Amino acid sequence: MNYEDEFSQDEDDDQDFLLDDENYAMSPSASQFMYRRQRLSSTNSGVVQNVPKLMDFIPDDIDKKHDEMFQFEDDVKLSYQDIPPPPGLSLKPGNLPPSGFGPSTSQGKPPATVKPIGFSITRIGEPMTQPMEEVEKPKPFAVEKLKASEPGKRSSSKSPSRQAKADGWEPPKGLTPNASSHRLSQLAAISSAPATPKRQRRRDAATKELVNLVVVGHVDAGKSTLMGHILCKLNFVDQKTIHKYKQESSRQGKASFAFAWVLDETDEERNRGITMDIARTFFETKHRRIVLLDAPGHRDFIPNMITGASQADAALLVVNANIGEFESGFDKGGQTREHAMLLRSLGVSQLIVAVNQLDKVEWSQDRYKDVESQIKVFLERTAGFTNIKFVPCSGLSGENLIERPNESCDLRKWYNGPCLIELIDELQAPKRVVDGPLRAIINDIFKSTSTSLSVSVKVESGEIQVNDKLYIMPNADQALVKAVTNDDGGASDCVYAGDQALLTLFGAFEPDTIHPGHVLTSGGKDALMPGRRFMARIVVFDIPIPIMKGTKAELFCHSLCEPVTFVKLVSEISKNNGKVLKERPRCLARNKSGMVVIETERDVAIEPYTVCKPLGRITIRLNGQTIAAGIIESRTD
Amino acid sequence: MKQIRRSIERGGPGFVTLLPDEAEDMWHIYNLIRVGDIVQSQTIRKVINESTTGSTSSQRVHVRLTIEVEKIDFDPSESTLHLKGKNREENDLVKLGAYHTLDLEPSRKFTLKKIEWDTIDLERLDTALDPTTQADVAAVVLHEGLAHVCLLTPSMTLVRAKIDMQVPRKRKGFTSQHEKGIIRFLDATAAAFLKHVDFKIVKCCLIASRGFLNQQFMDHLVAYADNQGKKFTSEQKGKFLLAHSSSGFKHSLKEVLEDPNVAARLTDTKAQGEVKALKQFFEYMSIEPDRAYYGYKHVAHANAEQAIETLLIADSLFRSQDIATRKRYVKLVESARQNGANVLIFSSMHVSGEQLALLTGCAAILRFAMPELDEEQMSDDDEKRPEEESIS
Repeated sequence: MNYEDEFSQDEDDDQDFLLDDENYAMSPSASQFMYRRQRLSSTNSGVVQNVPKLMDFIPDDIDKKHDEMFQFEDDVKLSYQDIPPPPGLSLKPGNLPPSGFGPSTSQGKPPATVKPIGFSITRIGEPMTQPMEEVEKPKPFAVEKLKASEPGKRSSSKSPSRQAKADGWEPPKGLTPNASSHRLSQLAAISSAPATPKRQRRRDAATKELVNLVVVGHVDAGKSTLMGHILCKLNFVDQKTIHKYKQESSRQGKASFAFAWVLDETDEERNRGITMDIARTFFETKHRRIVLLDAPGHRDFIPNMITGASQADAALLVVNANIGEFESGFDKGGQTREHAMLLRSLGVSQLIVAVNQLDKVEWSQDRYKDVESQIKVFLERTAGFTNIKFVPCSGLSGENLIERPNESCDLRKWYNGPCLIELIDELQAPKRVVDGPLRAIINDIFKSTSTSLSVSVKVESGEIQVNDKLYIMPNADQALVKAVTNDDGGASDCVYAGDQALLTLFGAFEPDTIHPGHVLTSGGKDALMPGRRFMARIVVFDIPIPIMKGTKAELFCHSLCEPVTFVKLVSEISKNNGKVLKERPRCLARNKSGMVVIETERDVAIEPYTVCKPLGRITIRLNGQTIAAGIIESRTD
Repeated sequence: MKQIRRSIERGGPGFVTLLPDEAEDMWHIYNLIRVGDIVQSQTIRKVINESTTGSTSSQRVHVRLTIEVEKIDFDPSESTLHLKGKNREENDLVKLGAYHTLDLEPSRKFTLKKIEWDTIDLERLDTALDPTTQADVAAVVLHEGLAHVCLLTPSMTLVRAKIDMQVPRKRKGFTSQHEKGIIRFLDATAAAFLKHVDFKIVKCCLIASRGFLNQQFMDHLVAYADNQGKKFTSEQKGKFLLAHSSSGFKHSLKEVLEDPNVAARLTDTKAQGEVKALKQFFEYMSIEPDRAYYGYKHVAHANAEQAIETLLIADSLFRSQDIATRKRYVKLVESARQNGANVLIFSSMHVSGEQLALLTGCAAILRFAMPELDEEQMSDDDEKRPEEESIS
């Protein structure tokens, strides 16, 4: 217990140290670097830190919608002014006595610089001039500060120890080397390591845009069959293979599963006829490169669906038009609703609804209209989607998938809109944070030995090149990138934000210590610092048992799944205007919204929403039900 | 546990000599002994003799020592209790006031002397002496890559093994990696199961997971045991019970115990009763929040109004090292009983008790709604509790 206190304290100190560089960051030359971040040298890359952060605060159209749904937007606006800025940005100014990292830290310079950011949220697409002024203001102070504090802190930060904590930042003596202190010093070293200079390389503009598409829907809606059929039609599966599947599946007496077998590859899945884990595959359309994530529909596998959906930019919701089956999937307890709500809370805002299996109802237009209207009301009113497109199709017989229906088909009588693949081709890739600090989420580990790892990652921000020296958080393991492969199979030496990639990492790894949900980060001030206590703003779903202090649940965030405890209910807040309704409520009942403090059992690599959106969106589940979703406000340990 | 001698005045001083038999007893003893109590037991002490020439020799000597307890340490996995304190009775080898640590373990006799035995203590002593041994339940909760092999005794849930392994997920064209990973994981879990579960004392084995992993594990376990030459008899196979849990984390055990199918098989375990009561409390919290309160301040208030129907209280509160705190809760329990409330003392070694301890450790279901309580702020005191007591 004792060392844990110390640990968090030490970490705070690290942050403290961080900040000095932050002030340094506001050097006179700051403004000239603003537009060209990638050219910065390692020494002053901190300068630009404020800039990409600002970008975060300016919600693009898509995300704004999302916020509205959860009523985050107003709150976010309000709170930027008094919440502590993201840890990377500033915790405490170096000369202030270390104070609690809580919403009250509104004095001191850095928050002052953050303040105007709150205003700029409302003005979407604000030109960058305003932030530049902001950066200039605290300049003289910052430079002075730098000189005063730099020498002592730099040396000591390499190995914080008990002494270091007790009497400020004295160089430590007599550090007892054990695992935890090793990790502490490692963390400190990472934050003080020179940031890798930003490279000028950019992806070739000529390549098609990459969209991560997740396919969701109730179990047996025909997700895998639909996508399997598309892959076949687009010739991403060779004829021989599909012929083999057709033969084998009919031998087992389930001929209709042949296309699903393209994606459901494990024996277990084929025998049971359901998808159990995300299937990841790749295809190209005329204007887009699509990474397809086929999610399982069974309610037991929602955790797998969440890891898939958290990587997605857009979603394809498959609903079964069959009479009775649509209703069971859509009514309470069906996965159609839960999936849609999860997508929304995971930040996916582009949605295509494929009304599948229409051939089973003789392409009845009435049925299509009926299904469409029911779903539409739910998606727009309850879930808050705005960008929804509908398409009728049949996954098994293949109508309206990659080409519009031909004359002979009954569908032609009443539908002449775009086919499914045309809609997929129109999906927009969201703006990628290529300029941001590196955050790559490990979502799978294929092979691990004590010296090398082969992992699959989704790069959320920044870029990765061969020979980059990275750190795996929260364990702070060092790793060297040996090889980078794009998920479409082609070897490449650089991947950017938004990409799915396979990496080969070299380093010294303990077996079974690296898990999905760990995050790759580069050294430097904007490195991710793991923690275990966070302040979060959540919206409670429609659940029977309210959330109380001490409730234990599972926390889902990007590919991470960890047990979590609600250690404190801070306040209940109004959904409409973000005002505090009640301080320290006894419980948060269904459909309420509130601020809570959550704590995980071990350190996790998650960050405030304002620093990195994908790492700040959380979903909390209990007993196989999603009980809440929200965003991380700050780290509180 | 056997009682050898007892001389206790109700609500007053007294002593008892006990001989614990099993791990469960150690847990009861842990809950009985507090700082300031006097414990006498046989122990081993290293004695250093200095000869006239100045050379020293050390010897390990069996002595009987009496100490005044200053620090209590309980090791649930080894089921031993370490009591540190100052010597109270001088003898040839150990001076008065010298520090010594007594190790209490099953089948080691000891005498416990207290200045005051309150109702909670006496009750605990009686439960501990109850000879009807309740059978144990083994439980495995798992999801791909994580498994907990637990043993549920009447008052403890012991995690015997935690298997945390990296299983590669399925990947296009490389499904064998996933399947191999699963096999490796199931092998490890099966090995842990066979090592820690003794079918002689376990009357029921729960295997819980999401999806079909429970069935898969069951099949694998049977095959694995067969391979190891420990083929299950059909009687042993009959003890298995497959259940559903949403994950392999330890807290999902609560979910398993709530399952009506499981409940039917385990009606007589204490864990089951606790889970039921806690579930009821949560249900009230959602349907009629004015009849469910938690935190000392609210509960004490409700008790003053004689409103409590069921009082749920975690035993960790009675282990509090602060005597005033303990007294406060003992009083609460006594007066609630007088008022006709049903008092359930949860074991904090169970998942449900752990949950209750996090919920300030003290909760009540009321006979009638008391909306006025809701207006009151929770006391600060209730905020702190979970941190100060957490047994690992």
